[in-house]
Amino acid sequence: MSTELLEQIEAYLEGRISREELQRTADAEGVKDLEEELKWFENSRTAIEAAGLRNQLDELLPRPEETKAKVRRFRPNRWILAAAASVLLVLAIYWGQQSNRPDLYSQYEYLDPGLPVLMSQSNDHLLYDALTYYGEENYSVAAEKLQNIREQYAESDTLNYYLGASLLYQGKSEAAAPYLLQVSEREESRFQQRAEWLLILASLKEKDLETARDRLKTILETPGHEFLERAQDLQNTLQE
Amino acid sequence: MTDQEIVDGISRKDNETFLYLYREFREQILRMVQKNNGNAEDARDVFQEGLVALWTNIAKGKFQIQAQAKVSTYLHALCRNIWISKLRKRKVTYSIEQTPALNIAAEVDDLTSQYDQVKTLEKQFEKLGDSCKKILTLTYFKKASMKEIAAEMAITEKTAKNNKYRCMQRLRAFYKPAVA
Repeated sequence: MSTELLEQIEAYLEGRISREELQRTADAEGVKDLEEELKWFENSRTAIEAAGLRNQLDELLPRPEETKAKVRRFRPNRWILAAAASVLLVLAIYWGQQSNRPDLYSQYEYLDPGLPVLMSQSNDHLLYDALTYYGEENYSVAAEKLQNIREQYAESDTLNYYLGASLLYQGKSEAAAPYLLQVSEREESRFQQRAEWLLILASLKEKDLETARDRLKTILETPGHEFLERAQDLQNTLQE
Repeated sequence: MTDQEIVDGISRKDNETFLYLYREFREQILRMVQKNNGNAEDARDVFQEGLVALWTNIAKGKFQIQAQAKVSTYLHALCRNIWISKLRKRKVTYSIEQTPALNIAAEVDDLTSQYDQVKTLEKQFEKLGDSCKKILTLTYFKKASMKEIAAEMAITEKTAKNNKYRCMQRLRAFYKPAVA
C-alpha cells in the first residue's frame, strides 16, 4: 500500500475527502478490497491507542506491595544456632498441631451467590445496585452501599441478610451477627434458614465453638431445614 | 459514578475514572483470580486488560450502555474471560463461576472477540522499531499535531509526515500474512 493511499484513507475517515475520490486512488493501485483496508486502518489506529492506554494504566494502577527481605551479613555462633534450632523445633511441633486442627469455617463455608435480579425488573434501584456488587463478590462495596440505604429499607430481610453476609464474607463476623440475627428471628423470611447457618459460620469464624453448638441446636431441631445435613455433620465434627 | 460518567471517563482515558474503577472492583477481581491459581499481580494485569478491552469496544462503537446490566457487570465479565484465556494458555484447570448476568454472556463474548482482534494488531505494532512506535503513539494516542511531533522528534514537519506513513506501511506489512 502506498503512502498516498494511506494518506487518503486517513483523509476519508476524517471526512476530508469523498469515498469516490478514495476509490479512484484505490483502483489505480489495484486494491481489491477497499473495505478491508479501511477496517485494517481503523483497527490499527485503535490498537496503537490501546498500546498507549496500556502504558498509561501500567503507570497509574498501584502495584501489589512487594515484600523485600532485608539482607544482612550475619555470622552465627553455635549458641545462636542451637537456640534457633530449638525455636524451629517448637514451631514445627506447634504447626504440626495446628495443621491437625481443621479450619471449621472454611470446611463448612456457604457462599450465597445472591439474587438474580435484573435492573429492568426492579423498582428498588439502590437495593439492586448494592446487590449487583454482592453478586460480583465485591462484598466491601456491597456492604457499604447496603449500609447507606439501611434507613430506607430497615425492615427489609433482603437488605439485612445480604448486609450480614457481605460483612461475614469479609471476615467481619462480629459486625455481621446483628443483621443475621434479625433475619433468623423472622420465621416468614425466605432468608431465615440461611441466616441461621451464616450465624453458625460467624461463631466458627470467631472460634466460639460454644455459641456455634448452641446455634446448631435450632437447625437440628427443624426437620427439613435446608442446612440440616451440614449441621449434623458439623455436630459430629465438634464432638470428635 | 453513574454508568454514563464511567463510559465517558473511559472513552477519554481519564485517570480519575480508572482509579475509581480500580478502587471499586479490585477486590472482586482479586478474589476471582486468587480462587483460580492467580496472585495479586495477575489480578492487576487482568484488571488492566479488562479496562483496555472495555475502552477498545467503546472506541470502536461496539459497546453501548444497556438497560439489562451495569457497566461494572460488563467489566467483570470481560476480566473473567481474559483470566480464563490466560489460564488456558498456562494449561491450568479452572472453575470460574459464570458471571451473575447470564443474559449478557453472548454479548460479552463478542466484546472479547473485538478486543482480541485489536490485541493481535497491538502485538504487531509492538514489533515496530522505537522510532516508529514513538511517532505513531504521538499521532494516534497523544493526538499531537505534525508540528508538535516534529518539535518532539527534532525533525521537519515534512519528514514527520513521511515517517508516519512509512511506519503505517510497515505495520500493514506485518498484517499481510495474517489476512492471507
